[in-house]
Amino acid sequence: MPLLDIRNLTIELDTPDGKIKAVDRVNLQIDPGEIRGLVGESGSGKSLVAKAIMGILSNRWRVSADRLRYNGIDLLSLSARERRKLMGSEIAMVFQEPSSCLDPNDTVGHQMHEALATIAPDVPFWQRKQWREVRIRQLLHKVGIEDHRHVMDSYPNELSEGICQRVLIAMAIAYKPRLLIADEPTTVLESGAQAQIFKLFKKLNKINDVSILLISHDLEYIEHWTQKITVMYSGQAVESGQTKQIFSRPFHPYTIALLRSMPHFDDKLSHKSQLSSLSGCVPTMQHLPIGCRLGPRCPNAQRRCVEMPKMKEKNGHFYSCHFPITYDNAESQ
Amino acid sequence: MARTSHIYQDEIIPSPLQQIWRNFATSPLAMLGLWIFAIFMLISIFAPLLAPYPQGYQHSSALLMPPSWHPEGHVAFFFGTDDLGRDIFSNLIYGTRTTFGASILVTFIALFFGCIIGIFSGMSHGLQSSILNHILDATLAIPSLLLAIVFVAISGPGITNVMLAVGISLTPQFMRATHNAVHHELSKEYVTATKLDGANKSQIFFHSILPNILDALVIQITLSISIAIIDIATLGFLKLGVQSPRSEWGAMLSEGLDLIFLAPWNVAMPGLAIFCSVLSINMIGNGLQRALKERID
Amino acid sequence: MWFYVARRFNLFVLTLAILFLLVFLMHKALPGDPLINLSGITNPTFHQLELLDQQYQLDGSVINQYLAFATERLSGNFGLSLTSAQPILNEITQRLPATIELCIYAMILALLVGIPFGVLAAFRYKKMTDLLIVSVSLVFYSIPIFWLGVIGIMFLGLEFQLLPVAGRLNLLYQIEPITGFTLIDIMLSDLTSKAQALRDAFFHLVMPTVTLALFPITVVIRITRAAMLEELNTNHIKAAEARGVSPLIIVLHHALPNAMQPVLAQVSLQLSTLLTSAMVTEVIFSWPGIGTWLMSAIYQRDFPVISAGILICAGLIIVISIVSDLIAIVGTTKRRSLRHGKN
Repeated sequence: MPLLDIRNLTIELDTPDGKIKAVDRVNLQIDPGEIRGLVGESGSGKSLVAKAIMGILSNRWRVSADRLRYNGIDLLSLSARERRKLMGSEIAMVFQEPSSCLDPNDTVGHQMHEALATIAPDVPFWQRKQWREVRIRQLLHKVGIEDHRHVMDSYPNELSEGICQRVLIAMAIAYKPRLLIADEPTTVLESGAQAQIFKLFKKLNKINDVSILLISHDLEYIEHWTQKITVMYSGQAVESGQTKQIFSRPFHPYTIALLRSMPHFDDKLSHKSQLSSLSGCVPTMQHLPIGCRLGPRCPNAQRRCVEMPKMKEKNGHFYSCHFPITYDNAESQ
Repeated sequence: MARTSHIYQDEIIPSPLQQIWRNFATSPLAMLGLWIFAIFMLISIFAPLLAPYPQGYQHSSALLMPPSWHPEGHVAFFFGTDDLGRDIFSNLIYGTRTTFGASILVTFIALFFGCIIGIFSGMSHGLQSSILNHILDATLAIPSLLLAIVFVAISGPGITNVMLAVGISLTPQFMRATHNAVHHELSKEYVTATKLDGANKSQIFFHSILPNILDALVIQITLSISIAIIDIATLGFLKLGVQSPRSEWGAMLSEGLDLIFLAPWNVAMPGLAIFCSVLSINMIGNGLQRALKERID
Repeated sequence: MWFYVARRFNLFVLTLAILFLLVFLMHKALPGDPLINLSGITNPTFHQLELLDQQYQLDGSVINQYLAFATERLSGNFGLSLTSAQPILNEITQRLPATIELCIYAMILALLVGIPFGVLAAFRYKKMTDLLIVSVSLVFYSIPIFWLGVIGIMFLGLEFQLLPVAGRLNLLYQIEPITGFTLIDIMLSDLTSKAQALRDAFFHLVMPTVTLALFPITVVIRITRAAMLEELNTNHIKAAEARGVSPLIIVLHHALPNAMQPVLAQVSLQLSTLLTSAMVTEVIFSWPGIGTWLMSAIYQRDFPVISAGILICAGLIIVISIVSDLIAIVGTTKRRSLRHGKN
């Protein structure tokens, strides 16, 4: 049974100009022990999906889905309290800007104590603080922070982003979640820290059997560290499947454009040639194209694309396009 | 197949003013405030035409008559009369001019002077700005009403003195509000960008800063109008304001104090008038604040 | 941090100087004999005239006059009152504690009532509770304070006879004015019926305090609500929510301390309005404080008293705002140095 099962997730926003579908019928499945990537440009709705799973979207957004199940439990039917309990024990989330996610007026140590306060060990209460201290030390060492005393006594503004992110991950894994949602965890970090964070994720995945939903717009990392990915464009899931499959043989024109836009510095590019990308830009939410949302920009668009394409499957590789690029098509072009 | 991007329809994005109005109009409270305000404005402009009796005219035959809805009341004296036989309704209408109309006038005069000084002090830096800042803080420390009371005490009662006093006490608040708003805008990055483009001071001011401080200014205007109304009424209440035969809501209230048991409407009616006018301004101010915030969100 | 303290002190001295300047200029505009207006001595003897000339330097240049004036006032010599011929300083020390007592209790009440309601309104943003709190506070914000006081007297005092309407204490009780604060003085005195006296003083306090506090309550509610709303939308609150921390802890421990900063800053800004409202309240309830004293001086054109009153009121406001600034700075030094790098 998949750990996280999402079917036809739709997130809408009420505006004076009418209802806008920011995320339109996205399907997502995560099996236990899997690292799944969620790829897309900024504005494609990836963060919204993550926040909807966690239930921390503000009241303006309306979340609806055919299935939004975690481990068999329907998340939409839970009360706020039950949701909070679930979030506090099974699902964890790591955000994009680590230092702004920590309370600037509290030391890191105090916040970690607070994060661990919800766990009730089988230790009598006068020993609890001691137990927590030991546990915090263990966690910090696990995420790669050696100098735990210094980190615990500092305020978040005094620490670098890499360390803050690791502290947040430590807080997240403190209660041994089964699912970790990482929303662009390394975007603001420098590359050394980035690699360390990813290695940490891999370690968590292999040793502690934590499933990870990795949201990013950086294709290189996604290719390296994930097993399955879903590509989103403008609120819709356009392609999903095994990473190796998608990177070697993408079907959807958008995926192909994405892959082409990754700079390969070993290629023989002519002097001052343009970098390849799709023409135009992501449509604004008020003026979404009818049918396939890539329609106006797609180089292969034809008349039939005003109909919304259905999600089709081929060998575990899902795509929603009327005219996918397969080798048969590629030959005929 | 190359495609140009003329595919999206022309978006009609409403101008900021239209957006603010739209946000404002969605709140029934704010619109109610606007209507009441408009009614008060009309009353103060057309007061002589609306009032049934001349200002301060004493009907010696109808002393202390209760309001018209009371069994002993008469519809000719709609809100009743006071102990000198003056019709409360007419005096309230004439009082609108004094309390309400004067406060609006005073606010705009204070706005004019306060803004100019505030803009100059906000746009300056270094020693100049420091000095002006200190002067501002000092003038703000003196309670506005105290200043007004003392001014009137020295120069005597009368409508012009009251207006001058309240105007002088309101100006520091405008200075402070404009100064803060200008200072805040100056620290933003788009102003730095304009500076790098080569704009001189007045260009920066008129193009970048002025449109963006209008929000803060408008809110300060509504705040000041309500303060002005209450200040003028308080001065009248303390018997320092306009004298009879000119009617003024606060003065009417203080005169009615002695009769509070015999004829409570003498106190209730002027108080209600003050309350309604201040409430309407505050509702408008509240709605504006909300509308401006929602535009940014 | 010390640099900031020095700057604040500098501001304090400068503001006081400008205040003295303004009052000095006001004295120049007053009708009548300047010496009488400055000193309050109506028929000075030759000896006194000499002394006064020395003190106030009326023949010297304007700057000398200003400096002399400032020195005199700072050394406590406010002259004599024209109406009572008593040294003004004595009258001030008699009356000031009453006003301060009223203001302090009103401010405490405002904070105690305003902050919880503001937090509640922010927590239930755009729901029924929030709309109710906002509309009620809007209504009370618009009620003129004298009307409120008058209606309070009429109903609670006279109609239903629930609360006393004038003064601080029933004349039956003779309390030694040690500190000037009634409640403390009652505790310190050696009356046999302390509890009764306390009850009486308390009842006398209720209506003026509530009348005075109503306006600040609405301001505190409004500011707390706005500050809390802003806090609740920050990233670290969302992250704490995602960790499953209970909303109560989030509000009390993470959001409230940050939101308190603008509230407390506003408190010092509210001081001048509070003082003027206190004056009006005192007049209505015949509370023996600075307000009634100043008002009667204004009616009687007692100029030395008027100028002393302005100096005291404005000076008090300046002192309290500088002190609260300093407390705020010292209390949040860590945050400042972290958020802004240096000062």
